[in-house]
Amino acid sequence: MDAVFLAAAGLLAAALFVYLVAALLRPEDF
Amino acid sequence: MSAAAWVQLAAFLALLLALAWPLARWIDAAMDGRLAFVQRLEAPLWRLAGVQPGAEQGWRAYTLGLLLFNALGVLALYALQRAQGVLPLNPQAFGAVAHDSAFNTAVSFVTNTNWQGYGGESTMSYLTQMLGLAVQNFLSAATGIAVVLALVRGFARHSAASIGNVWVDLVRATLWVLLPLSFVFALALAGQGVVQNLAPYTALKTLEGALANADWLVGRAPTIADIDVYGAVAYAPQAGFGLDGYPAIAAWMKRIEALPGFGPVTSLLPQASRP
Repeated sequence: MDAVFLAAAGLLAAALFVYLVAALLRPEDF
Repeated sequence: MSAAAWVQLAAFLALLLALAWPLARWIDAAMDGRLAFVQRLEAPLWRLAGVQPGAEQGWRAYTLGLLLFNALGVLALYALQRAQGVLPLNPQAFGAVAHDSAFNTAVSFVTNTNWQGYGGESTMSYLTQMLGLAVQNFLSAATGIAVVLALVRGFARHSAASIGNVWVDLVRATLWVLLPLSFVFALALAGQGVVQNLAPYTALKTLEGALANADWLVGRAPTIADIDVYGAVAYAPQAGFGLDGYPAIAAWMKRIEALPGFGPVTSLLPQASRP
């Protein structure tokens, strides 16, 4: 259960990171 | 006080004063949203959360938002403690925190009192500590910063209908003041070798290893280190840590108990508390 939880949390964090980097690089799209 | 202590005190004060000005400027710029990269990073967050960062609130809306946010914090922290037994990241298999203790801790951490009325390592799972207590360490501090900012705006603006936006203040205090600072402090702690992991506890293993090839903890004779550690290890069975698999610790305890003048730890307790 721990591994699943950590994987899900990691994916969520990665998605947020990508989203924020995209916002930093292409602010006109956000 | 020794000369070294005075020097340390003076160095600490000098560092504190030297940091106050740049930190204040940083906080001012970050909380005001004047930094370009901050604006860029925040824009998608405002969109996700449905917040208009430019829309200020009157004191009622601001206060209500702050109270609502922290009331939800109490509920979330209480629920997390009560449910930790069935949630992940709990290798010690801790059960739910007792309802009164959970409520006390929830209120205490949301109000930034941080009263630890529990034995941290024997009560709270990693998840509760990370997702509950640590999060509230940030959010309650952010709440304090938001309140100060709202107060300052109220004074500075003489007669204004608005005192800022509570959601913007909370997000900015957390992201641009508290998180960077805690990152720096965390690096300092990690640099000093502070242990932090998600593994089950390794109670007694370190001690067993240290005593495998030595009769005493420090040097070749018993020291205050042995006496101090013995006083804690003597309670290990009561705390649920059996000493069966640790022959070096058992032999070391026998050596301490054979020292002249030895008395059991319970003999130090007041008469009424002795078992």
